Amino acid sequence: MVTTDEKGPLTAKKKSVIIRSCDGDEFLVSESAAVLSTSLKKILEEKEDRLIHLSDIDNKTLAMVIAYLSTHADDGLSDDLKRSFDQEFVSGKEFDVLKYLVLATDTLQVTCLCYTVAKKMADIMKNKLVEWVRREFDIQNDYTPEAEAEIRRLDAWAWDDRQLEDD
Amino acid sequence: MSKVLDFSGDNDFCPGGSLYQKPKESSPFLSLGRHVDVYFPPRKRSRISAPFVVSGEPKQQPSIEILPDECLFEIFRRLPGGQERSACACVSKRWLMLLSSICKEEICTTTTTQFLEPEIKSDAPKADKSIEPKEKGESDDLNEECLENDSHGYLSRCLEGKKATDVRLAAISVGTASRGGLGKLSIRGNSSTRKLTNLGLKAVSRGCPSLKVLSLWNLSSVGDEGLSAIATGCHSLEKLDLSHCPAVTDKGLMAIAMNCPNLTSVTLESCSNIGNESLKALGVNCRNLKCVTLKNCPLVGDQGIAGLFTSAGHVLTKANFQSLNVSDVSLAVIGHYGTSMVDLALGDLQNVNERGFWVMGKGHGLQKLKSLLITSCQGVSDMGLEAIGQGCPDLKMFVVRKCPLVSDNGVVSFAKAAVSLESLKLEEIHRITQFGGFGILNNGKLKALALANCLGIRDVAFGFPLTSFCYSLRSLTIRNCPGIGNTGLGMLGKLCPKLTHVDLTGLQGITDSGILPLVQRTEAGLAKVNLSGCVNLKDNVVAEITKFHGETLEVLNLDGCKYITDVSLMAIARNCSVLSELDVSQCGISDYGIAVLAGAEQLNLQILSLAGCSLVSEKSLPFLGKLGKTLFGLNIQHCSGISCGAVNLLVEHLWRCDILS
Repeated sequence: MVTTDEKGPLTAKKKSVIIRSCDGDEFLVSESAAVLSTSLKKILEEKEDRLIHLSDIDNKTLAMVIAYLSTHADDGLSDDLKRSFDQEFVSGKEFDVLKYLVLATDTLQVTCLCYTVAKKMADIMKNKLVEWVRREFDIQNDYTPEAEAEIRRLDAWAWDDRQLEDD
Repeated sequence: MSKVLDFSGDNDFCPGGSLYQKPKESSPFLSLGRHVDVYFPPRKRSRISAPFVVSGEPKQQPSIEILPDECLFEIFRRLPGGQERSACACVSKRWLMLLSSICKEEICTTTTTQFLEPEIKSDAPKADKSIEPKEKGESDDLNEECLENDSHGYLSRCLEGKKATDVRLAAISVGTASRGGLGKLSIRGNSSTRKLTNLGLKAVSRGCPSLKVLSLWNLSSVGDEGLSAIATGCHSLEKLDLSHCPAVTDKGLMAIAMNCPNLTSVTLESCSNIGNESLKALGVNCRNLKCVTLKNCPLVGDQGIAGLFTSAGHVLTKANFQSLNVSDVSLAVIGHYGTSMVDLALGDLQNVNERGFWVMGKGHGLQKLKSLLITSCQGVSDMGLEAIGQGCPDLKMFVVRKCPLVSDNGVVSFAKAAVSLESLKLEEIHRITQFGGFGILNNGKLKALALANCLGIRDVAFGFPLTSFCYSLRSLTIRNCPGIGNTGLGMLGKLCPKLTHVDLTGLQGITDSGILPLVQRTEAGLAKVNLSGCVNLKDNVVAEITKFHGETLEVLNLDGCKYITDVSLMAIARNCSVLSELDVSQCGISDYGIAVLAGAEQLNLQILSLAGCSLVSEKSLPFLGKLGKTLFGLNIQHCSGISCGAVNLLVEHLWRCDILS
């Protein structure tokens, strides 16, 4: 079922790696793409295993990461093209999706994607209410009401003249 | 379009390949996320091995709370501005502490981030994101965020008591980082300060690289680690003030000394673990160090002072050493190396002997010394004083307090030797007698003489030869010297005809006849006269003062002169033209006197004190109202004749006047 990379006859014989998500599905990835992840590279260097199980990355997220890795492993693409790919890769994605993506990039240590996603998330968080951020990140407010009021007072300037959104 | 969209479940997923033929239309990648589940029907394989297993329930969606600090860190440093970072600091304490750990250099700006990130290569950087290389050029762009920073002023914050916590410091650090950074930070701890540790200072060191002034008082939990962080992050530190910080040792202070070359002022008070090594390091490393204050630091000894002065003696201009375990050696070093010293204060140096002060004067290094203050030093003797007078040709102001060995001879010979002396103050020097007092006046340049609490000064029965007048003296203060009486004061008055400022606080032994010669003979007009506590003075004195000096008198204090009555106020109202401050607290004045005062059109009183004048009643209110037109301050405390209601009325009426009641 699983085929090799279709990059052409020259690269056809390249080694592939199978990555299994936490849902149990398996993905075939060329080794050149896999090693862009520092974590995967380390595993491949240490062991001969061609099957890597990632127990905390789901199908959806893993597929996205792999698409990203494959694009960036393609030597035929110019840096500019890769950059515009990066831009579009994150645009339009739900905040929730980005959260899992950034978590996955941290696990897999894909520095460049981590930066791109973090940037996108930071952009989305701009002009958002604190309550929105807490909800989206599922964070318990551990400030006492007085402490929070005090923090807000100290940083009062941060709230002036800003239209904050809650969605 | 691309294969991905046409993908039917039967085929295999082929990443790469033809997808890249039209990279501009890379939308398939975007939809990949949504459809991807469809493309990968479960292929059940026997698991051979699982070398990379992260623990946890595989099926459960991870909560974002488990986003590790590294991820949050990457997001935070990409927040577009300081406002967003401050807002995120409100989300939770963990976020705040994380935000406060971001150095200014680590913040990515919008314009540069995208293009400066390292391209991913197969030999991707071994990612330790927290110490990733700084991206060149970013820090320059950061300045765009510092628009609110005034080039002269800087942001200042003070935390006290219970409010001094790590969380607050972190919030300050995050909040001020993008506004030019904090310039001055003061933390005043007390018994209720518990939640302030090195962590808070670390946050400050990251967010406030422009910190100039740091002042830490009563913080037992802040130690070397915090101070070292400050040393690492805040290289522009200019002033450091540590008081009662027992956890700070030489290690912390040496870090500051080595990393903060702009340090100009260091104050260490009751820091029980700071010793000589710190002072040596400060002397060697801080080429701009000008002011050093050391109080009650038991580990500081001669070695430290010597180390400091041998290296930095030529730059130090101001020093204050109190309650230190130093000996004669330290004073010798100061006297030899303190070539730039202008202002020197020494207090409570119990181990310094007579020789120490003598050798300090003989060292001939203190050529620029202008002000010297010696308090509670047993070792100061007549011999030492004379040597200091000779060794400090520029000395203009000298204050000596509570030094039991000092007597007439020393003071007189000091005044003679110190050729530039303009102001001399003796406090609690009980061996001084009237001879010493008069002898000092032989110095031709002295402008101000003050004797306070000198119990040895007594009226001498026989007349003192009035050989030379002291024309230079402008200000004479004799406070609480109960022995002085009419005779002595009368002679002083004759000797000093040019007085303009007279302060005779608490001389209970004098009466009108003692003051009159001083008042009547003064050639220059008196401007400030303080007779508070001279309980035996009567209206006649005020009448004479206003008669002779009404055109120059600006300040008159008669606090506690119980025999002063409305007659004096009448004299003031009649004669004084420039009086701005009048204190008749606890005097025997009444409503009539106030009325007369209010009737004097030429008076422009700015401060009036009627505290404890029991004869003043509410009948004075209209007159006070009239006086109030020019008043900035009015004291009517303990005036039993004025009710609360009346006071309120007055406060309402005189809204621009500060009323004590």
